[in-house]
Amino acid sequence: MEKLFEKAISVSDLCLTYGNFKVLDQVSFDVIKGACTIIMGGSGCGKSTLLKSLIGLLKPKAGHVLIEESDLWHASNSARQKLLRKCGVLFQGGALWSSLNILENLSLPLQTHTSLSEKEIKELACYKLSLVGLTGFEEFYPSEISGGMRKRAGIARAMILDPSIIFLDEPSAGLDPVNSRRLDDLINELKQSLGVTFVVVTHELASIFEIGDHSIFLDSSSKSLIAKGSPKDLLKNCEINEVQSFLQRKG
Amino acid sequence: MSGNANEKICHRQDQVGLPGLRFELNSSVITCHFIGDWRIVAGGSLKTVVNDWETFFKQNPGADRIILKVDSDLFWDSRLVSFLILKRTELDTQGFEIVDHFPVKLTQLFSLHSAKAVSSKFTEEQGHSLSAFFTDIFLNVSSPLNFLGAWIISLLSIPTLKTQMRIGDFIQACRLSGASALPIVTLISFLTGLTMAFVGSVQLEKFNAKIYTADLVCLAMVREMGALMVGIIMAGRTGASFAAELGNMKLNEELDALRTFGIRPMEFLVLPRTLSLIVMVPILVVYADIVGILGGLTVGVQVMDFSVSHYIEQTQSAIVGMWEVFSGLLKSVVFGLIIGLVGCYKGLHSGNNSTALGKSVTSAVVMSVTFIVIADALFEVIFNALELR
Repeated sequence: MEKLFEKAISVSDLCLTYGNFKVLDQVSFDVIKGACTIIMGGSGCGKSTLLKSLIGLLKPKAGHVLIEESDLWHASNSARQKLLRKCGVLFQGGALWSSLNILENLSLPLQTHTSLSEKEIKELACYKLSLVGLTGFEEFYPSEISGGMRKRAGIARAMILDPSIIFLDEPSAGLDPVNSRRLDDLINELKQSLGVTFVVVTHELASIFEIGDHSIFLDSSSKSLIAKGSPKDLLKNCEINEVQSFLQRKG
Repeated sequence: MSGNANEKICHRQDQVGLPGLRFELNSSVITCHFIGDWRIVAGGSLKTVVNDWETFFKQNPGADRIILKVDSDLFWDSRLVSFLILKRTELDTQGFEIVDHFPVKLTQLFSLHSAKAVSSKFTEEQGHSLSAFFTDIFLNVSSPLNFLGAWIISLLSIPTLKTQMRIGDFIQACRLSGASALPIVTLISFLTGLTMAFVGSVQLEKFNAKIYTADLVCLAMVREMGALMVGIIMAGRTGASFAAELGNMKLNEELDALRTFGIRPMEFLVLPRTLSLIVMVPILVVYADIVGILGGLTVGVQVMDFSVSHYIEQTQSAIVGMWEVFSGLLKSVVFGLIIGLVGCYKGLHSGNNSTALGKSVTSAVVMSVTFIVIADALFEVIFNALELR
């Protein structure tokens, strides 16, 4: 069925290592354009490592990552940078630049990569902030806003260059259930209204079922991908013990 | 040996309450009973037990099966588990068939250990391999060189106007490393000049040459002490602050966030900081030289009863050429570069936890000061060799 959809990212035979320590091996999957794909699995299974490889921060030992049909890791540096311009990333802790206020955090990528006027940059940044409900917080520094707000500002910054793919690393981590739910709603709204492809690393079950259209399951013992499909399908039909234990929160 | 059926050999420690073993040999089957108290609190040494074990196996080389028997009423804790893990591994490698007669809890502890041991084995092997050792050495040498190379390349991007360095960041860094350092530079330089004047006057008085205190203070400040003191102050103040700032950014994934937007940390963060020091340290050194001379003047006027004009005239006569001043400034440019590069390198390469960050900051200061002193000595050797002194 998946072949009917257009692929935003195609990963094939990816092998990731830290030095000589193998983290993941033979990982292959596709991310469908306009959908939200969840990367899930237990702690230490390599979710964030895989994400790092998809966003150009960790070079794989072997394999290919195709972003909109261009190979990320076999391209020249400048071509890779161009490719990564299509991607926005929300890091686990928000990773807002602490010496800049929220508006400056959003403006910096625009100042670096566009020739827009300062006025236009400010307008664009304010618009993105309004999308995530942070109007009025432009002058605040990251240390002056709550964890949930930092995540939302992080999403706004990830969207600032109008990327076609947004990667979110554990967006609900450290948030209370209400803020976590709000963030899920925001992701669904942005997906529907902007048509952006989302790749989300998470192990929050509620979020997985709320926002996930597709998912892949990584296993730490076999260091590989052991299941893929929609989270609801996996819950109903997947017979792999690890997947069922994870999705049903069994010990 | 294997033919001696029902032969019993007993080994045990004399003292009751200490760990011990009792062996039984039946044909080629050994039964090992754990006796005594196998808890950590029981104390005693396992040396006797290990000797008993080794002696028994030396005396009975024909055995190929062993039953390890731990009675349920035996007192034991992790001391027994650790001993068993070690000995079972030995027996395994010697090809023994091992049968465990353990209480349930001990069996559970064993299976837990086996599961964990499998996952940690790979890492341990990697940690001790020879290739990893050489890789570490290679990385320790190549990483600073890579950093230096990348810094030079990013420096060359400035004339082409393709740099990602923002002029605002450079000015801000200049303010933080220059103007903000004035109070501490003033205090230290004034006291340095003052101290040198005191020490010098006592010695020069013996030769009835007290007035040369002005020469001493002036030459020492402009040639040596001005640059050295400012270098050390800036290493402890600004170098440490660069390392902490960049290390913290790394810890919070802010550097990764920059890279994902195609912003190069070398140009965006390192370049403005290092350039600010290259510009500000010489300016601070000129200021420190003046303040140090004023410190000497204070002693000259207040303690040695020279007039202000007399002291200043003597100071002027001490400087025979501008090279005296320039040599100090040349040093200060290099010191600024050292402090900036070391601070930024240590920050960007700090580990991903708060302890590692602390170590990076300490290491940045220690390395900067060491390199400054080495560079200073090299400068003096070169100046002397070139007859510039």
